[in-house]
Amino acid sequence: MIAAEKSLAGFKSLLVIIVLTSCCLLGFASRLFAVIRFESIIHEFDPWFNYRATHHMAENGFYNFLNWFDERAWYPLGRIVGGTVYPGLMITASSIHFILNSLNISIHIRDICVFLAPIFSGFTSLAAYGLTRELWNERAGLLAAVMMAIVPGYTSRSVAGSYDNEGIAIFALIFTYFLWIKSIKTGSLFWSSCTALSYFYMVSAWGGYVFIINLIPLHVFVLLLMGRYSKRIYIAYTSFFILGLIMSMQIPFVGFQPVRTSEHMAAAGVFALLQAYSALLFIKSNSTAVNLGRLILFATVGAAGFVFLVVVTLTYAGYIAPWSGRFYSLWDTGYAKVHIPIIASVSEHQPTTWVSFFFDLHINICMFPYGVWLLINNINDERAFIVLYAVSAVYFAGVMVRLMLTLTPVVIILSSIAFSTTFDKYLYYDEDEEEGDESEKEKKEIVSPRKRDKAKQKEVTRSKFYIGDVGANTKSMVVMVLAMLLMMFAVHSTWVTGSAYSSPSVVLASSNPDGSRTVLDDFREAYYWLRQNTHENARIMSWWDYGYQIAGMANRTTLVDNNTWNNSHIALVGKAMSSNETAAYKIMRELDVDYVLIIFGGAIGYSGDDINKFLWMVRIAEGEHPKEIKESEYFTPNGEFRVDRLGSPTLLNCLMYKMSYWKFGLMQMDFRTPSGYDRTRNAEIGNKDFTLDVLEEAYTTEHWLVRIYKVREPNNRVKSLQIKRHESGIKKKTKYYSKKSSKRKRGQIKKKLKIVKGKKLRKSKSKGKKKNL
Amino acid sequence: TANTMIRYVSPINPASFPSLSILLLAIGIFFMSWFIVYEVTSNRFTRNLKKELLVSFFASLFLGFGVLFLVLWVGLYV
Repeated sequence: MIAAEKSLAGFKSLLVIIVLTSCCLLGFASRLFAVIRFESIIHEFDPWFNYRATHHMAENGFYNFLNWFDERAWYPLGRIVGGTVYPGLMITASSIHFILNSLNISIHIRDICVFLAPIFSGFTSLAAYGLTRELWNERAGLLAAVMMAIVPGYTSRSVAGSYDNEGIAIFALIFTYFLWIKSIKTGSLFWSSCTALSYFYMVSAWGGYVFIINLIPLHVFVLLLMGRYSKRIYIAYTSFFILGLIMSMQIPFVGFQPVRTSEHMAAAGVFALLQAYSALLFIKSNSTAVNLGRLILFATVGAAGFVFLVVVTLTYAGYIAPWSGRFYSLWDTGYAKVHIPIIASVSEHQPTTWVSFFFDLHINICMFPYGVWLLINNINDERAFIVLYAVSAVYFAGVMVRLMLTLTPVVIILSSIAFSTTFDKYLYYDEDEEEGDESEKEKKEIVSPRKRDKAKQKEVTRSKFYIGDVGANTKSMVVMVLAMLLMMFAVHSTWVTGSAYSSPSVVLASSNPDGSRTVLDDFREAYYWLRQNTHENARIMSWWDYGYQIAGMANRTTLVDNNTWNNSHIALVGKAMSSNETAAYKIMRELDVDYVLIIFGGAIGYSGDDINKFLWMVRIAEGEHPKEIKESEYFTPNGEFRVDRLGSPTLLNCLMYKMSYWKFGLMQMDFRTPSGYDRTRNAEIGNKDFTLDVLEEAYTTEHWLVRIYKVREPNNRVKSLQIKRHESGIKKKTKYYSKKSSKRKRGQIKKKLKIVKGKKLRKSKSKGKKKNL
Repeated sequence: TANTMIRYVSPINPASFPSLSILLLAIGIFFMSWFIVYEVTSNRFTRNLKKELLVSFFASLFLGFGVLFLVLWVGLYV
């Protein structure tokens, strides 16, 4: 009996290990679509900067990376990379590169960067298994691991090639929460220190660490409110807070923010409150007075109020910075559009639609409320944490599409708990058989009548999960339906990952009517042209979206890039793009621009081009230069944005228009449409023959997607600004009147004869005159 | 010089790499699972060092050669 149970336990552990290994392999394999279809390349925009930074670290060492001042970005300002970047991602990739190379396994840094996110997705499934096992049981944990490996909400940001902070940050997030739950459960210093270390890794990886440092204090606060205070909570939170605070300040980018900004004040406030509460409880335990309960309550509330007032006063006094724009716009959603148009213009920061919830989470978003209900019904310390995480994540995911990523783990965990509980009920053993075993065991140990055992068993099984007798038919039907739902989830996830989230964005692909694929490699074509045909220190002006790619692939200095830290510099570029040629030329000469790069999609119907983004350029420029640029001037009198004949003259003569449609008026794609037909805007362009005086065309790619222009040098001979006398229009003095009086007329012939050719000399009254012929 | 060098011929027929790697990996995984189950179900008193060493030796032997042939099969000629 005991041996059979033991071998069962053995096989159970083996099964767990097999399932978890398969989850890691599954997570890795399901993210490889882009690599198989195209090649192992870094995707999108932000990962190119991360790759360039990692390359710099791999070539030059860790300290040269921390102290790196990049003068090839944000010309002429430069960028302090070491102090403005979260180094966790670069450090992880470089250390893997270093370890593998020292073992003589020479993998190029680019391949490590491309495949880092899939590897970490395997670790994330393991962390999800651990977290769910702590919250519920092992069976739910396994299901959570499997679902976490494939769920589209997570694969969207961690496909092979998407070398971005979120790839490792989600792993750090779930792992930190797992360790926090462990430390709450055990109340040991070891687990709290591990939590602090994992929190340090999270701080180095992503700006979303603010979520952890606000959720954990909120959890402690709610536990205090629920009356669940215990020594474990005190030990866990105090050690985590202090160690985490000191370690988080070691990251140069974070610096002194944890003690100076409002986002971190909640943690400090709860820390103070916890000290006050435990001090009061200590006093209560050592005092002999009986009715201290009310005093404790008032004292705690008073302490909380005092801490809050201190924080508010310090904020007003200016010692503590208020909520930064990025986080404030999560509360006040209309704030960014008015005050910080750059944040509002990013498509990832828009509110989430209902479709995204189902697209990213499929059946799990439906089972998620059931999981929340189950946890609330069986509440304890750690389950309160997950409920808080769920509620806050749902709110944030509704505000911003990008934050769907933080909602995904909690939905997976809760829905796996829901599925697992349902399977527990409907896959339950036959009761008679179960009772038989139990009662036999009882017989061996305790001598008691069989009937009494049966009654006891029946009471035990009538737990909260008991649903009454259901027939075997119902059981199998329910199990089959749920299994089918899970299988459909798997099919959906793979389809979504393959079709929607695996596009590298640097390479565009479209399918022909006969099903074959055309690959549009225009971006790389243009960047490599730049790399090979311009001089080493050429400065490229483009809209900020393409800055990182230009720096990464073309290796040239850029003016503005995706970091968008300097709004006025971006506004200058926007102003140059939206003004007419002369005004734009002045700005471009001031900024020493050599080449201008724009994206134009009108020839193939690509809708992500610069004319579609143009209004954002105007808005951002108007924010800084409201007198020169007015958004309303670019619309027709009816308020439409048109590029055809009826478009506004300001739009039809601005630099961006001219650059996009240079020589496009001569091009006729199709005999049915007129020449110069813009396929993205579905209109024939209004201004076809114009001249470009300040730029000359340098390169246009095969499908007209990327157009590069060279800024013309000023003329060698400049027309003088001084007007010549005969053009000036000033009247010439006709007679010369000498100022000398008759006495001072030295050097003057007195009574000089005036000779006029062709006229007879008149005799004057004075004598002694000679006629001069 | 290049003329005196003879072309490298593998001692094992490359056509057999797939079957060899699968076979050796399967045996290796079997021994590995046996070892894992043994470790999980034993406590300090029931553990036998000789059995542990024997099982792990065979597991590492077969897994090692299996991985070698797997790598050769994939195309990395290590």
